[in-house]
Amino acid sequence: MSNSETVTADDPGVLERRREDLNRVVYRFKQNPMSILGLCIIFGFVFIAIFAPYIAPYPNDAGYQNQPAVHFDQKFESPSAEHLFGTDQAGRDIFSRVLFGTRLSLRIGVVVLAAAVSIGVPVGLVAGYLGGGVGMALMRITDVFLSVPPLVLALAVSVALEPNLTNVMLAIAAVWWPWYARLTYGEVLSVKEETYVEASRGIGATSTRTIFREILPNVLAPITVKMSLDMGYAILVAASLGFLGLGAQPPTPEWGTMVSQGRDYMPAQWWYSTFPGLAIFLIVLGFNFLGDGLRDMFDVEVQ
Amino acid sequence: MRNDTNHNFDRRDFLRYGSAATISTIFAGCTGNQSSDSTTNDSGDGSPDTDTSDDGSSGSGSGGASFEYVTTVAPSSLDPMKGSDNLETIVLHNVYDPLVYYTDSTPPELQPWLAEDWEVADDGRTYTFNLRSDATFHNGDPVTASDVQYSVQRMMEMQNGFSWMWSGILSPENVTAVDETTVEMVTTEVFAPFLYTLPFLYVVNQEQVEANAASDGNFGEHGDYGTSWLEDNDAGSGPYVLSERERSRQIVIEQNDDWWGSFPDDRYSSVTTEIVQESATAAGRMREGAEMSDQWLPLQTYNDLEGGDDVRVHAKATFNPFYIYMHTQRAPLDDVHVRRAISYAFDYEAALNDVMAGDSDHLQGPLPGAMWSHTEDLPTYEQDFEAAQAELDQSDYSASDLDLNYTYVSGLTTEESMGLLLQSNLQELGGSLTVERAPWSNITEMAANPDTTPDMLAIYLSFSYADPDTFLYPAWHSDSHGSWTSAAWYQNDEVDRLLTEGRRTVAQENRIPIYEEAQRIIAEDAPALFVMNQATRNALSESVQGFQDNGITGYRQTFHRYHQD
Repeated sequence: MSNSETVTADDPGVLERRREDLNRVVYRFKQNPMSILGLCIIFGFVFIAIFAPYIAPYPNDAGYQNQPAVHFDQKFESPSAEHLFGTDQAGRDIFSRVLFGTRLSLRIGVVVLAAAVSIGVPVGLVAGYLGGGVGMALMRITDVFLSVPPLVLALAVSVALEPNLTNVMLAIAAVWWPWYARLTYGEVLSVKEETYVEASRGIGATSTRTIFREILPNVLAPITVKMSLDMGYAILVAASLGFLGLGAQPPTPEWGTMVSQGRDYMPAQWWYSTFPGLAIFLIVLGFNFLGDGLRDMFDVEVQ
Repeated sequence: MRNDTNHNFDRRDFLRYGSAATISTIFAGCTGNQSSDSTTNDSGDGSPDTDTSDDGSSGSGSGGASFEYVTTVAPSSLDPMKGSDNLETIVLHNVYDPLVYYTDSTPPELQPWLAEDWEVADDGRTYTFNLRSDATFHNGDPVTASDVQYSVQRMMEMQNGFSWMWSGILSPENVTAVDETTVEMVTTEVFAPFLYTLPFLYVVNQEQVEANAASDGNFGEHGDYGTSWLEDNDAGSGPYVLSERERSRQIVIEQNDDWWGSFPDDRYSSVTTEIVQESATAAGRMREGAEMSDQWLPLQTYNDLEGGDDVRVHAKATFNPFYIYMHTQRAPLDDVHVRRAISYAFDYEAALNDVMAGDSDHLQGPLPGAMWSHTEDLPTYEQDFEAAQAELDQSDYSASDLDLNYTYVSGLTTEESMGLLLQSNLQELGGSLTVERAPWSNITEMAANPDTTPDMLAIYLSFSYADPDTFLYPAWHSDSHGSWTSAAWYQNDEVDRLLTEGRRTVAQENRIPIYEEAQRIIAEDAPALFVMNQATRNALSESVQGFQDNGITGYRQTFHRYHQD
């Protein structure tokens, strides 16, 4: 166990061990071609998200810079060199909209997970560390949230509030944090009896310090792995809500909404649903490959 | 870990579902294409013998063809006093007979139905109907005046379905059975459109309904008023008998051999309404030889269907006005010049030709052109940015003050497209518009209160009875405030007076100038963008004859008038 608080960095043995650890980790990651592929896919999407305005041939079709454009005279053009993925019912370039949709999907994923982690992890840490009545109470509250199917709760929340993007993210985060609370709770239970935790308490460290400096760093690996796995899932739930008519308001390009609108035009205008659908498929696949790779790398059990 | 077994489902399932969803999307495209290819083979040999439901309960054996109607809308109730939407009306007027019926002309006129003839007394309130003596219910009972009286009572006491048409107008105690075949109705005040509302008053068999009413229900001594029994059975006298209902799947009605009226020679003796989930499925069923589809498929789907061999698409602009209401009680839209400026900024050309297919009409004022009393002698708006700017200059606002929102019903692509178009038009003018969607139930709730009503709201004003009152009163009379039909919160005392007078004036020729004046004032005040009278589309099999679109929701599908070629 490489616990930075209990060893000094100038101990050569420690540095050596760390380098070995790192090498082993990188080696394991490289051994899994799927995780490399996943990483490439994710990097690809991040690249697209950052440079969307420069890559997209018609950024205004995706509502870029609040200058949304419509060209009803070009509606439902099939894929061509001019419109790689064809055009939709308002004559907008689907390729540009799919590219810009990446921004939204990644943003939803990041915001949702950030919110879920920042609620779930502290709850799990506190519940696990304190145990007893407080831990019991916190975990029962968590169970209540877990007992409702995620999509149903998210639907209810985003309908009860106004169905806009912020509320959708809020709704998904509300169904997501309990998973992190459970995971963290379980991990904390297993590490809090370790000697270095005992030692930290023994030398008089406060609970806060023990939790955040001793326990947290040692439960981070499974949380990280779960986050990378969940990223795709969160994007998928957001797309599902969009598909069901909640979520981003037009003209904001949102993959789930595009798939949903396009299905009315199946099969003749197949390109409308297919390309945003493929984008969802790819990004979710990418995050899963990456998550699988990370899991093997850290050698942790998440599920 | 140890205690989180619940985690098991999420990731693997997620991978599976995620890919399954995407893959199925892709495959949907492929299979769809295949089916459209393969169906051209078997649809050539005609559609009559597609269904097996011919030998139903009516024991008709009369050898007519079967008819398949495909729709994406499921009825919530088949009780004649509860049904009120399109598909419900379709089933109801084919199974139940009203006193009078709509012709298939445009605009529709009244024709005698259960009532052979009728007269209106000089007071304009007393209506006397003489019933046909040969009409019988499906169980053989004769249709009598007391059944009509009972039907009114059941309608007004249940307070459901179409009862809003007569609320405050007709009460059961003012309906009397003078003799076996004579009914007298006295309205509480003069209500000129009264006769035109009667095609929505279906006559039920009193004895049969009472015999099948459950004793416990919401209606006191009437128990449940027969409501649960009527969902799967009928107590009507109409051209068809309800023979089978599988909820959310299909409704089968069979020809009534003892009907007093007559069917055409090559009639359809059995009509199956097939309820499908996706419009793509509905289109697929049409290609496979179904006889008719509903009018809610996407425009593009009709265009694609039209290219097929055995399907024709009937498109006609009748009574389907599309408005964009502007909130006349909230700044800056409370200023008539701002509303006119927006009316001048909208690109009607693109709306009619590019968003729609060029066969919808530009509305002139609030009334569709085919409705009597419609006048063209009123201010109309075309896109004209100079005129728009001139109007803005007369107001206290500049274009940059226009920061509005436009709300439409989730899922209605045309409404979304109109919003996006308006968004780019307002941008050109110098203002801005956010486009938001909301579920229908939220919209009705929003429109109940002036504070929550959106700045601009996209609405199809649904057409009920064939009278100008059906469009004008619910939208522009201040009594209607709080309903989604009146989301402009328009308040004009002169218009209020005219619309009330229009209801109280019996003779049509006297009502016309009243409504013309009301239209002129409303158009001048521009409380809405009068965008278009949208063409209604129905896909029909080439073999179906006798279809006429009279523009009345639900009354287009008069299956007993259809026949094969």
